[in-house]
Amino acid sequence: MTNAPTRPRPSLDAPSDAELMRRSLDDVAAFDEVFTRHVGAIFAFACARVGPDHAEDVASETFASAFRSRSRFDQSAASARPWLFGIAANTLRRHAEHETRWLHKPRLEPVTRAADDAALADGRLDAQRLAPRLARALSELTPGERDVLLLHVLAELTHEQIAQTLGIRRGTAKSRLSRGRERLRATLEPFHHDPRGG
Amino acid sequence: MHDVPDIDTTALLEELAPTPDVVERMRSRMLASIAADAPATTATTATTAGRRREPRHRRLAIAMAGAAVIALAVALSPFGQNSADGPSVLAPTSAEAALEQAADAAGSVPWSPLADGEYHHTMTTTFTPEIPTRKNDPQKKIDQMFSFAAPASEEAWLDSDGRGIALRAMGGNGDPNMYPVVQAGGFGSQPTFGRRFPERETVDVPSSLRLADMVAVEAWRRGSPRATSALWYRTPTGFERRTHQTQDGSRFPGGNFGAWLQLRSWKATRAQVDLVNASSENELDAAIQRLLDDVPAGHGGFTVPPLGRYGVTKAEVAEEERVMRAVDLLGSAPLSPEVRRGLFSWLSQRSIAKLVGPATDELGRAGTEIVMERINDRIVPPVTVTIDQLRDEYGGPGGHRPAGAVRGPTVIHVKRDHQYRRWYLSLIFDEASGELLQHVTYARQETTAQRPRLQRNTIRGTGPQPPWRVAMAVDRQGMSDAVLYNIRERTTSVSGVQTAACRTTPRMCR
Repeated sequence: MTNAPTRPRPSLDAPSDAELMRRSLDDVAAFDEVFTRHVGAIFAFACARVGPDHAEDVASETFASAFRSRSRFDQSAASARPWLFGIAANTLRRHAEHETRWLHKPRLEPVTRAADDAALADGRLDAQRLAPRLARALSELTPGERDVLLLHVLAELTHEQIAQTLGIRRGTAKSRLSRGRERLRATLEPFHHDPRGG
Repeated sequence: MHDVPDIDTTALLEELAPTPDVVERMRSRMLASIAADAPATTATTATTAGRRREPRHRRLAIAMAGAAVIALAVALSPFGQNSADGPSVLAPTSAEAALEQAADAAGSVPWSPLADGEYHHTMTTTFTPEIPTRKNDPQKKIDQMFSFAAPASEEAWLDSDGRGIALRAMGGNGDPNMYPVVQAGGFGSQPTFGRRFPERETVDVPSSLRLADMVAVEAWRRGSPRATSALWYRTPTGFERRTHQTQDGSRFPGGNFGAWLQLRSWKATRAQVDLVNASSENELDAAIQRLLDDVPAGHGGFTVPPLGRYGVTKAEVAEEERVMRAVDLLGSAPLSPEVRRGLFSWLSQRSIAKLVGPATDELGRAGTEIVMERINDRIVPPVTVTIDQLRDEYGGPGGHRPAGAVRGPTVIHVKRDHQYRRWYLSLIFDEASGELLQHVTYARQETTAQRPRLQRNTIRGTGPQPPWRVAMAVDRQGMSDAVLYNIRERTTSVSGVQTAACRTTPRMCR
């Protein structure tokens, strides 16, 4: 992975996820803070799997389920993110039909457009052009490889955290990630030819 | 030309990030859902025709009134659907407590015996599990115990006479473009699973079963005098039937095909189920013990002789066998709430049960896990063994002691030996509903030295042969089993099909 996405870092005196989850047993507002911290990543994960139309449903259901089962949260965990992604992965299983339709949906290449910042434009353009191919490439992975790859890419989980989230062995997570990335690269490689012929 | 880059996550995350309004919308929906879950305003779950169970929050209220437990959060449904129905109990702190909670929940379900027109609908799925390693039981040894079989599912609707239908699907390797090669005549095929030996991790259970190689359909439908069995194989145009036979019921245990289907699916006969379900409160404990003791042939556990080896006792081996029987019955048999409560309670008294805590099963369903494990690991110095000692070792202390003549040496010298036996059970269940989600069992026993043991004598010779003989061999045996409990419900028709392959070819499953 090349560029780590930026996201707001909690201030030094902000409570940890574990502290917030503990407080949420009596105070819904504490859980709301957990929601704020992680909703972007959960939504992005859902969006990559089922598209933006259903990502809202999946993300909302994920947090509602998380609230209901918050007493099961392991207080020794540093972050609630792996746990939340585990719930999201479970929620997505019930949206399997939407995922199949989304990944196999015929898509048009996006139209190029000008932007103020050339580098940003290139990045956005690449992402827009990449998105339909990425969806197609993701559809060719096994569900296990897809889960692991997206958790690694979008949630920046380590092999250990991915294994914990999905309830699989660390070695399994590592091998699925490796295979998924190779297959994704193989599918996306033709895309990365320089359109200017370089 | 650019080198093939890794995925640019910055741009991708920007593309996929929610806008502020979407975030607020999701927040509102989450808060509305939380408000709707508040105990005073919880809506009753709609029930469908044929379901006899009350909504979960009412069952929990009954259980908790008896247990006087304070509710904190909503439990998850065992069958893949998060429940919004009311609060559940405090997280248990011991295996005994967790199993007792499950007992309370299982015992609180409104129930009646299978009536005319009703089916007991069950489905289980088998898969190759991960087994934790131990000192002297490393991954390599564990892997040797597994035949790496394809995932399989078994779904059945059976009434009290055994009439109904059973579907058994054998999973494929998940490649939609690869089909089983069917032998002429339709019996047997070269399956896709294992044809291109994938690493174990690449085959996930749902994909394997959705693209099943084969589905066996056995039926003894109401109003039909004949039972039938058919094999359907996956082809590019869907599943096609390649064999179709009628069955002579008299060949099966119980004298009819339906009785055999019940035993296979319920892990108990109808007579056993009826007897224990009809037990009065005073008789219940004894009836449950008889049910646990009466293990049908082929449904037992890891009790291969010699039971006295490894230092394990007959009582310990008997307990292991009964634990597995209790799990089988809880998962599949149409038992009354009182009997199910009794089985959970019996399990809660197993001193070797240890609480692991919250866990998810192979399908991602959340529950509580307990494990039971027994490890016998010892070095036996060189020793001289007599026939009498072999007789003692055969059935273990208090067990069967073979009598009669023995062919072979009367005194045998045995080298230094490392004897290892491990029996392991993991159980994931939902203590709030009293339903099993998954069990995994694993057992291995092994010696390093060639050791003598008594075996039935099948050597032919002139004149009468002794019934037993001494055989010298390194002992290396094992077994493993992993089962997901997908569904256990009452229906009035063959409906609610869960077998994934049926989505491709629905007519196969009617």
